[in-house]
Amino acid sequence: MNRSAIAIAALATLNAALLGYIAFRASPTSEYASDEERTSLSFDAKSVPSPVPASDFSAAFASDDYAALLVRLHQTGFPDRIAREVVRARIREDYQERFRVIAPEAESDETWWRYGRNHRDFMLTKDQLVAIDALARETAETEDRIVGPSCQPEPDIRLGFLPEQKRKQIERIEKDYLELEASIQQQTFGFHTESDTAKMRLLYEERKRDILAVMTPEEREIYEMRTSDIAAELRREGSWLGLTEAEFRQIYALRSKIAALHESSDPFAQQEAPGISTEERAREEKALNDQIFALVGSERWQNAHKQQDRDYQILVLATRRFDLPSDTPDRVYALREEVDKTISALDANTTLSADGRAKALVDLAARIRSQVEGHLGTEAAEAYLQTNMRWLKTLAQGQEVILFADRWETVESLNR
Amino acid sequence: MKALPLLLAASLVVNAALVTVTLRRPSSDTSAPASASTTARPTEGSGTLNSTGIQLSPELVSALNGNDTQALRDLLRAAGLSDDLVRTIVQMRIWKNYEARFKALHPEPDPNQPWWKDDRDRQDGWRGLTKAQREESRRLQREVRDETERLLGPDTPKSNRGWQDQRLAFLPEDKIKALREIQQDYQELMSEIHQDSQGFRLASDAEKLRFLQEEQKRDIEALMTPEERQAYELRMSNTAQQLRHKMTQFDATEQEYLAIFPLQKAFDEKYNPPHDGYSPHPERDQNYWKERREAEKQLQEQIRSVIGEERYAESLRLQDNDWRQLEAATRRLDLPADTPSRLYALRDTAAANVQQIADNPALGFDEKKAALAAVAARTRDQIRTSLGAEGAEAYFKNNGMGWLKELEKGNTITFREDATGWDTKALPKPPKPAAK
Repeated sequence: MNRSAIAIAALATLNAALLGYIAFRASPTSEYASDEERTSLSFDAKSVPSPVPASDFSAAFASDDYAALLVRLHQTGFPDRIAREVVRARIREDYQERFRVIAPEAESDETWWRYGRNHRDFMLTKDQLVAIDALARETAETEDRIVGPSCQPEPDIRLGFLPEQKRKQIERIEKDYLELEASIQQQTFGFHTESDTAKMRLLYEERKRDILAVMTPEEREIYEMRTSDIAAELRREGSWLGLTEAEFRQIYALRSKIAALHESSDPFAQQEAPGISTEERAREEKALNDQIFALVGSERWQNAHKQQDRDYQILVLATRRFDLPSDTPDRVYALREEVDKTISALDANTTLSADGRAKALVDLAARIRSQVEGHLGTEAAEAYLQTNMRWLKTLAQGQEVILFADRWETVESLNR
Repeated sequence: MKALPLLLAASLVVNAALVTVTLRRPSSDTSAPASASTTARPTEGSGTLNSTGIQLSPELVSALNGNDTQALRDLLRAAGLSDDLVRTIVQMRIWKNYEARFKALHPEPDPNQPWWKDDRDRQDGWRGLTKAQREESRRLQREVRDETERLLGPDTPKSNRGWQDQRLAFLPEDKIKALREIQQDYQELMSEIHQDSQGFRLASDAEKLRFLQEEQKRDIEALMTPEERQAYELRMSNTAQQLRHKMTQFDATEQEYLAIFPLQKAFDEKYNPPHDGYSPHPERDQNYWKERREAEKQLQEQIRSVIGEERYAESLRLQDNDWRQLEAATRRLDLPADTPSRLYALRDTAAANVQQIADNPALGFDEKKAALAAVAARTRDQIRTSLGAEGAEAYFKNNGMGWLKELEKGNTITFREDATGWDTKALPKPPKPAAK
């Protein structure tokens, strides 16, 4: 355990140094050309310097002064993007060489009848693994520093409230910690112990602390509201419910209050924080849902449920595939109402025999099927009904079905 | 429906022509197109860069900023850059010519998109595009690929980090290349069907896919001699894909694989037929499952007889969770190499002790329960001694020797012969005292 603590301390120190470096270095925009700048640098003929005589680059390529190679390529007139990729290839070549020195025996022993058994988990020693992970991190850091990332991640719209420099800092911290976590995972050889969990917990806490340290107290609050687990869940629901920003904020506040009271803040905890029974929890969830329902109103609530129903989602896909009228999913889904109405009418008819009732249900099923075919076309309807509206098959056998917002039942199963 | 074979036939004619061309091409010219053969190529090393004699001329720099990709390729080669780097740079320049058109089809996310909502359309990938846009995107991709191949030849394994599929090593280089082209062509056609389905699949989609798979198989077979076909089946069939995993687990020899393959294939043909991913699976009654279990047992027996008792036992052990967790712990904790076999043997000791306890008429119900718990405690102690407290805790948590819990509850256990786990049985309850 002591050794783990030392290793973690070393990692934390490394990270602190990295943070210091990130915080005090020039803004990333000044260090790397933006996409637009690179494009104009790359392929605008006007940006090509005056012709220079053929020059021998052998020494520049042989050296490990990658920054100098990049400058030289730029000076010679290499487009920015290509110059960076050339230097990236040079950095990776060196990495490959150093990798071979650390693990010279790590060649594949794959044969045609079995995969190689010298996957790094099998063949490399712990020391080799540690050295390779350190080398991989060093290489990635060198690449980032000299030539920038090989691909730009899509901007995270949740962080749009932050100045660009802070956004980049946070992305960098996230990336660094992800690498550290991956490194810890790799070094477990697939055998996780309590000390691994402790390390992961420590990294989680350190990452959170580092990220929060980048922001002002106001920014932290907004950051939490946009990126926490509660926010992630709510963003998903928000897109179904069509929430406005104000509604999102209101519901977020309600959810956070309950979570703060009852949920463990430790994502590695085996179980939830004690102090609340399942029944109590269910009551609170219901009270919360009632509040959300009151906030968004019945129509949006029902609509959100409908959109999450697999039957409806498949109708949306069919509509898209066959360029059907945009109201097709709603029209087909609304056939459920016809089923409800017809069955209520049958219930009200006291003179109908059991056989007559069964026949009416079979007729209803045929009518519904025919309408689905009318909306989707015969082949698409067949494909749709094979895996959706499964209650229709039961109805076609003369059995009564009851359709709920989230499921369906037969009368027999409800009576049981 | 009849339009389908016609539609696909056009693609297949093109494919057949491609196979013929490939086969007729001299084998010495398989790695680069004809247009490249007259160009000076001073570096042939496998490294990313060749750092000797690299001359970057003003003409090259101009070409890097121009549109003539063929001239650029020739100048890069003449400058002394390695094949890999030439490929990277030329590909970047080709891509540049198409970049704007691809970006128009796949626009950047709206920066003003509400932060409080997930963008479901973007998560759907291809589904955000209309049919016409998808077709345009595919057309552009094909153009990029054709242009790349025209200038640089196909992406060979050498340019793919040196990885080579060992399973195809029995084929000559030109046939490997032709095979890859066939696979790529059919993959594209199948991928188009998937994309066009937009997540909503019809029976006719499944039929198209089946047709393509059959045609692909036919084209591949046409490429090979009867002996090569047999070797291909042995290496690339569905049975081979599954078997390869198992063979890796117990480090099988080639002879063992060759002996097991026909047995497994016969089983798969009857019980694991390929499925189109669309049609409902046929309904199976209890008789089917009973028959299948019997056939599986028979298959295991056949395997046992062809690879021998010792290797069979070893293969079962290597698939057992108790063993795999011990191997993982040994690697992780840097333990002596014999740790897994030493600790795995505790199972046999425990099983023998359990049997003795269960059969011992001198022991009462409670004494037997206590004795079983003592066996479990002894076994756990031995694991702790070897793995250390933290290692043992992790081992038990990962369900290593999960059967110990049964002993602690006072139940007996027997290990199944096929290494699929263990069976447990409660001790017979003591007879109730007779009523007075």
